[in-house]
Amino acid sequence: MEVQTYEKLAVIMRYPLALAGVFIALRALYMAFKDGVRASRLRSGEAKYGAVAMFSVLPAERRGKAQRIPILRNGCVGSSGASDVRIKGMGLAGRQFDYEIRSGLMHISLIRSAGVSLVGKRANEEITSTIVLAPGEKLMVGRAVIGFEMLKTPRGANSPAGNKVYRLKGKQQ
Amino acid sequence: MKQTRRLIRLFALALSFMTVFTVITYITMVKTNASRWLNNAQNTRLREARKTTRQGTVYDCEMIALSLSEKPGERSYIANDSIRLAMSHTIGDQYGMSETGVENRHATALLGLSDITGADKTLQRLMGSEPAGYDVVLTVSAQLSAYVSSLFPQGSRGACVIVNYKTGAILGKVSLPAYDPADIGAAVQDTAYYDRVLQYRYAPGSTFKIVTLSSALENLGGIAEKQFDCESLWSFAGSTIRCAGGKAHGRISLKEAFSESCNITFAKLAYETGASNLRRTAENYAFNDNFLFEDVVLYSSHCLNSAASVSEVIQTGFGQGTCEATPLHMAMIAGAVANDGVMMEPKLIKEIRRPGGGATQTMKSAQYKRVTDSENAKTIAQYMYLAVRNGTGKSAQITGYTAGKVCGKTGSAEFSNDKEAGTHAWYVGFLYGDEQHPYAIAVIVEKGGSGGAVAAPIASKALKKAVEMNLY
Amino acid sequence: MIFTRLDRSQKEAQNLKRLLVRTDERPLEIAVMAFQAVCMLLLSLKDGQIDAFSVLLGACLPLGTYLGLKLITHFWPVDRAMYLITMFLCALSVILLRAVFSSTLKAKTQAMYLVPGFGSLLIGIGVPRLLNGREAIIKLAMPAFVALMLLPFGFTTASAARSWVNLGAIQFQPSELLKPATVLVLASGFSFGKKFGRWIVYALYGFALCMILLFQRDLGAMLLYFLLICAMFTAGTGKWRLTLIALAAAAGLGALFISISGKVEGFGYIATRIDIWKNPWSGKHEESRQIVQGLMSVSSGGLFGAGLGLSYARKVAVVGSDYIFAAVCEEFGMVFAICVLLLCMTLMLLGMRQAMNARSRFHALLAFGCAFELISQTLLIVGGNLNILPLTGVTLPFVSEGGSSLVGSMLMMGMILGVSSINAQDEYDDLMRLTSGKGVKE
Repeated sequence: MEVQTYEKLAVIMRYPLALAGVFIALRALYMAFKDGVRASRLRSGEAKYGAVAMFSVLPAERRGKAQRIPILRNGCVGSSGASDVRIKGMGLAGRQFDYEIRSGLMHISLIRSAGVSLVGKRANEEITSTIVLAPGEKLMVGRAVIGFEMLKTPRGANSPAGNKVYRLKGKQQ
Repeated sequence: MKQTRRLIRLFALALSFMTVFTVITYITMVKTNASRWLNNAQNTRLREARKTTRQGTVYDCEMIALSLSEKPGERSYIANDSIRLAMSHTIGDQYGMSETGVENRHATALLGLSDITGADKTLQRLMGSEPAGYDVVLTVSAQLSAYVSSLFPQGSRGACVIVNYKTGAILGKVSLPAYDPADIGAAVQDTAYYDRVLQYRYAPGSTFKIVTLSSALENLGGIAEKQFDCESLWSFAGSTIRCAGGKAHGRISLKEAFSESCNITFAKLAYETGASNLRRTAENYAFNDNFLFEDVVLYSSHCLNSAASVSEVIQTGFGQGTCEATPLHMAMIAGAVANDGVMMEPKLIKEIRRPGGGATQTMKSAQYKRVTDSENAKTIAQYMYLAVRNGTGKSAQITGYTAGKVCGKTGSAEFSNDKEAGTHAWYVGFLYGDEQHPYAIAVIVEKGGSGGAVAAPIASKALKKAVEMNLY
Repeated sequence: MIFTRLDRSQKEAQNLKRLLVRTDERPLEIAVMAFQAVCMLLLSLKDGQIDAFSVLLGACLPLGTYLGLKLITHFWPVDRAMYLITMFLCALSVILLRAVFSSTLKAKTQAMYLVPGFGSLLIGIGVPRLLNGREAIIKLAMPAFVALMLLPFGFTTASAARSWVNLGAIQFQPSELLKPATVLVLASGFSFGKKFGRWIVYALYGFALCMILLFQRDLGAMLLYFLLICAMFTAGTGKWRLTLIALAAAAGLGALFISISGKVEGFGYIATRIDIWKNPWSGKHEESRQIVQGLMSVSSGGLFGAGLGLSYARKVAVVGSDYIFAAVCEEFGMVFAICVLLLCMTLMLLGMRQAMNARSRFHALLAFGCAFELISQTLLIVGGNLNILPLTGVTLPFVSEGGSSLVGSMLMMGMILGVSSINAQDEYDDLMRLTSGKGVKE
């Protein structure tokens, strides 16, 4: 191929290549932001994903925004892999307590009661093997302060929607 | 851990901003500087392109072809000697000797490499036609420039530039000594490759009184009615000021002081106005500006750009001291006065056109800055009219010209402390009130002696010729 | 632990992918592969006769990207966008080297280096998966790393570059290879928290490396290391006031040093560089030629470039490593160059997100350090190319030619990918627990 023809080709190809570059850059940015938005929505546990309520977990000595964990069904809270909601590194027992949400209140039955106390208005209450928490009330377990909030449109604690939690929008594979 | 997360987010945000900042800086930098950077003798792309591209033709404003290429790698210049030499600095050359000439400053347009040619280049390549650059049509008139060049005394050095002060277009441009663009390599006088219109700075001498006057009118109330005493000598702050030829003007008004070019009055005016006011006015007149014009490379003029002593300020009042300006700048100042206080951006390129014809870019006049308000401009213009009618600028009058008023200011600038060294002859002026011939002119003859005797007649003839040619 | 094969069912593997690969990566994958193929095939025609090597690369690069993705994601759920962007940049380097230079030597060498580069990517993925930051081996490795950094002193002559180790056939730059190692060490050290005794050793280790670099007269690398230490220290321990003090002190010392640098032997070039940076067009220094040619190259590209293979970027000195960005501008144009910068920023953002999602501070700092290092290097060199900053002799990660730079950057990218795979698995585990353990069915 002579130089002239190559030059022609190269000069024409500038535009498609620049276009490819723009597409790659924009697609990458799109992927980055889309995943981020989805992830944060996931983490904040929107009602449409079937979350009924949210645990809020905060280390005792810290202030600020608590970590929010969506509650999809009744289960167990602890630090080991055997529990449904796993809270590591804050001094919880392997399986600390079972919880059940009934009529807008959380019924907690302690498996291990050492290191558990109530916080706030009910701080001086004695701890028995069952505690009933209202939304907004907090429990100190180990070094963590755990509370819960109901989400606006609870679908029912044992909602089968729990299985359809993470439906992807758009592309189905 | 939360704090770590927060800090990480902060870093991410900061770094994103820095990247965006870099992108924006990149875009602005290339947009403002690309034409300057690429039109550079060190740019090998130009040299390579010259071998394979047929460079465009350079035309003057009347479509006289000044330089053209029949084939890639060749360049021929207009046969007429007087035009070729007079226009040498404007045309430039193929070897980068003249930094400001069109063949260097606008090489990318002539070679078809500039931004405007991007899509065209693709088309050209596709059509298989021989790569050709764009033709450049200048605003300058070759015949006027050749004529003006002939007005200078034999063997003298200097410059003359005529601009249209309404549009900013440069109509005539001469720098002497000249070189022959068709014969680079021949021996030339030293400094022949410098374009004195754009690159040489001289002390403006009495022509700077325009700026001093402007500053006085703006800052000193009622100064126009004041009377001044000129006793042919004034000692103040360690320097001795004399009027030209040791004359004593006696008791004069401001008008007369300007018209007779009394140094002592203007020295006193500068002192009264004060350093900061004078500097501010000078900077309004574009002194100390870093000119970044598209069409021409104009070196900056300086005035009081560092803390000045009292003696310095006084001397600046009549254009001596460390004050220095290029001829084009002085013409722009004259034009600004004529144009109601608005200085227009100088333009050299009238049109850039494709090889087959058809313009891709035409000159767009642009205001550069407002130097003073309309009232003061009229007053100064009036004073300059009197200077030509009755004062030192009598030889600038144009016989048989009645369409407008000839206004101007002469100057005889000392350039060395040696008393015997002589002076540069300056004349700066314009035609006022003539809608069809709005010309401003600056003439300087190095070591020419008296502005009124040497520079003013050149200006008179040059402007007369321009009027005859009906250039706009 | 590396090979955490998901011995779950096919369906669950699909579910995992669905959960974790939220946006389809196929358009990006196809675009990157197409770009690689088209560029190399186009370049194969550059010299008149068809160049077999370029055609081969035109097939191998996209194939390698595709197979690499399949291979890695078969074992570990890494972030695919980051991998694809990295492969794009690596291919870009080969493409540019082929386009800018008339001989194919540099392109060939760079293509060869891609193999150990990919290997280091895999090694990098393994590092965060194997380590949790408290291992003694990291502490033990510190003196080894310092020794490695000192190696060039034993291998150089007075006039040769002082930061290279020349072993005949192979030469490498320890400072480039040690960047990921330093990130590892510092991540481990600074993740303990605020206790003074814990982090001071690591800070001193970092400064020791900086001092060694100073004596090697590699000021660009020293600046990078120093910024890295400050950033990781701030993020890890949260003591931002201390960092600000350190930065101010360093700035002051730096200014002082620059002003006397003319008199210190061997550092005279600093004053020259700053002078050139302030006014490259004055023509006073011989060395300003590089930045002048670089700036001309940058602006010659116009919006869409001169066309692949048609640029004069080879006229810029050291264009392969120092001024590769100028080559991007001239070959591909301003639009594409901005896209490359945006891609580097996206890479950084993705890396930072992995750092924020990490469950342990060590992993978070690891990802953060790598991402910070990559983006700061990019900003420094692009700033130098555009004369926003004085030239510092660092390289554009992945895109610049050079084996050590590529291996070092790939190691760092691998570490970020490793952290991303841990994050994805943790997230999967969480999801598995929160849903009734049945996985996700439709």
